[in-house]
Amino acid sequence: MIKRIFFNFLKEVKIGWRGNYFLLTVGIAVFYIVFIQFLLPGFINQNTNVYIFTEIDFEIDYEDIRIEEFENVFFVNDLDELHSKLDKNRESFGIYISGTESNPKVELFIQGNEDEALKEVYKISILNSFGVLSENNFNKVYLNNKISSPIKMNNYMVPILLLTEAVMMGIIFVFTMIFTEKNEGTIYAYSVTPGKIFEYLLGKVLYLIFLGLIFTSVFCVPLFGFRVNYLELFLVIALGSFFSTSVSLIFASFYDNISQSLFSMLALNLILIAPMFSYLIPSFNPPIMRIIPTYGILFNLRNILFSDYGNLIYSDLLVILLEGIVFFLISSVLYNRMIKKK
Amino acid sequence: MIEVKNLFFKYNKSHEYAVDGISFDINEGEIFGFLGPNGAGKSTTQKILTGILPVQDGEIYLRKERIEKFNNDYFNAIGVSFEQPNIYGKLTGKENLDFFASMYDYPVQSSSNLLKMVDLDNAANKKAGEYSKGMQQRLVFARSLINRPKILFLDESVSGLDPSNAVLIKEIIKELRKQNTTIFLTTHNMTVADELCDRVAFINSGKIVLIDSPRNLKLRYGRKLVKIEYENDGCLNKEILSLVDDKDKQRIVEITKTKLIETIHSQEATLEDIFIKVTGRELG
Ligand SMILES: Nc1ncnc2c1ncn2[C@@H]1O[C@H](COP(=O)(O)OP(=O)(O)OP(=O)(O)O)[C@@H](O)[C@H]1O
Ligand SMILES: [Mg+2]
Repeated sequence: MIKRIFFNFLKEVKIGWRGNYFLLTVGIAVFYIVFIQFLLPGFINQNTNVYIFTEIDFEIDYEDIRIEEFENVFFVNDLDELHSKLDKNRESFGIYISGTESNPKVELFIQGNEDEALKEVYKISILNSFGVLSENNFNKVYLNNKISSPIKMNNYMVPILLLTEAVMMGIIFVFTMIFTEKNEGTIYAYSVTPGKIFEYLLGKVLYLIFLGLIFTSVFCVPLFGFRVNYLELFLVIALGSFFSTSVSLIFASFYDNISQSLFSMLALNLILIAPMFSYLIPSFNPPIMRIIPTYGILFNLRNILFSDYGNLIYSDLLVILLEGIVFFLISSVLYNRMIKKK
Repeated sequence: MIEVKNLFFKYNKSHEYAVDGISFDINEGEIFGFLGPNGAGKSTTQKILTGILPVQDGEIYLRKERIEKFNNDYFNAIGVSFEQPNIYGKLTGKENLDFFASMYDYPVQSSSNLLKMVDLDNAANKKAGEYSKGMQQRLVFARSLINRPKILFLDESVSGLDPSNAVLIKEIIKELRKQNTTIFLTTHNMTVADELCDRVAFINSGKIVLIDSPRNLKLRYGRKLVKIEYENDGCLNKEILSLVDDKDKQRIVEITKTKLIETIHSQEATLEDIFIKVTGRELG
């Protein structure tokens, strides 16, 4: 069984290699690296506001804490106002200065969407303006407790691209693979050997997982280096790819060519990609989104890539695995029947 | 070796039967010819016997045992050559054979030997998609032999090949018979059937019309047939008539009286003549 699965996999790799699918995969990854690094801005809103409330009545050299690109420094009258301003503008941060002149306490209110470098600049310049350089006087306060360090907008897109490419690449490839084999009739030649249909399909699943992992490596290593847990990343990509390939195998079994299947293929893509909206708009989180299996994949990819969101949720992975197995079994049954129908 | 009883098959509920209640049995080591015009149901029968199409109605026995479900033992024991060359175009000839070879549970033939046997050793490392149709057909034939099958199904394996390659394949088939391989050979080429088959079944519109050895058929129908070609409304008509059958004798008289006869032959009948005589249909 293992031997036959392996040779089915090897066959797909050879055919994929000659069909330039590997080149295509690497090409897409490189294109997205360029897209992420150079075409997408790190932050959409460059007008980060800074709100300052100080209890110490003395001269601050405002120029010191004003940075050219970020002109918007506002002084507020009390702590409540500071909080309400911050609430209104999620991209801003606040500074609360208390204590005495000789021993000032500086608190930085962070919401999680600000530029890390910018905060450093403010921290240093404020401490400087008091003539104090000690870190002891400085305190970071994380608002909302849940988010901490900022994630650049362009990097925040990476889980989406991993979902659409590494995980869902399988969809379109499965359709073309199945149609080619139906056309060539090789699936019938296979069916008169002792080879099992599930071994044949598993060869394709493994091949598409392999392609997904290649995409993930080529894409993520240049962007994140090795500070990402690749074992976890590969696990999620592999399970996601297994799931989406199995689902597409089912869909592809009903059609004979791309044009017949175009509508289903698009619909499948749209459904599986929908959790993206919850991802981009956190307030949009209807239960129906959470039912779509790619929801779990997307948010777990985020958790792995950005340490601030929490850990990989293993129960999510188990669910995806089980769904993948169920869909794979259904597709095996369907292909067995399909071969006996023609 | 293989016995088929009352096999029926319909592609569609509304369609007529593509296989309409056929029964036959094939002895071990025999080449059994399945002969008939296009659309007679030959390939359909082969597909049922190789598990590609389901058994809708009827029974199949292998060595006297009823086959309910084709299992690995069966697939390890059979070889199948398809009518349409179905190969991986992106893989080379050798890779095609090696891939299918890796699916069997028992030792298989070496792909290089097989390629040499069907005269494809020069093209072994060329993509099979770039083979000519005849080359692809020989590759499919070679593939069917990979597991040294006890039972071999050949669907039109010799048709469409140039004369020298046709001879090559026919020689291999004869060699296989010497090794006691049971062969189910589908063709609409009577000369091939005549040359290779121990027995032939004539199939027409899904029904078997007769089964006998080519030799017996020719003895039975042999010199007692005449082929008359005559002009009718400006067209050339051909009829094959028996010299012993009363109705046919009647017809011969009628034609000689009313039509302009071009030729009359009473030479030894070919299988083809006999087929036309028996079924009233020309072969494709
Ligand atoms: N996939 C199919 N769907 C519907 N009908 C089919 C299908 N394949 C064959 N048929 C029909 O079944 C009948 C028998 O076809 P079959 O292919 O068995 O003929 P054959 O004897 O092999 O002919 P040929 O000499 O052309 O290969 C024909 O009437 C054909 O139209
Ligand atoms: Mg046929």
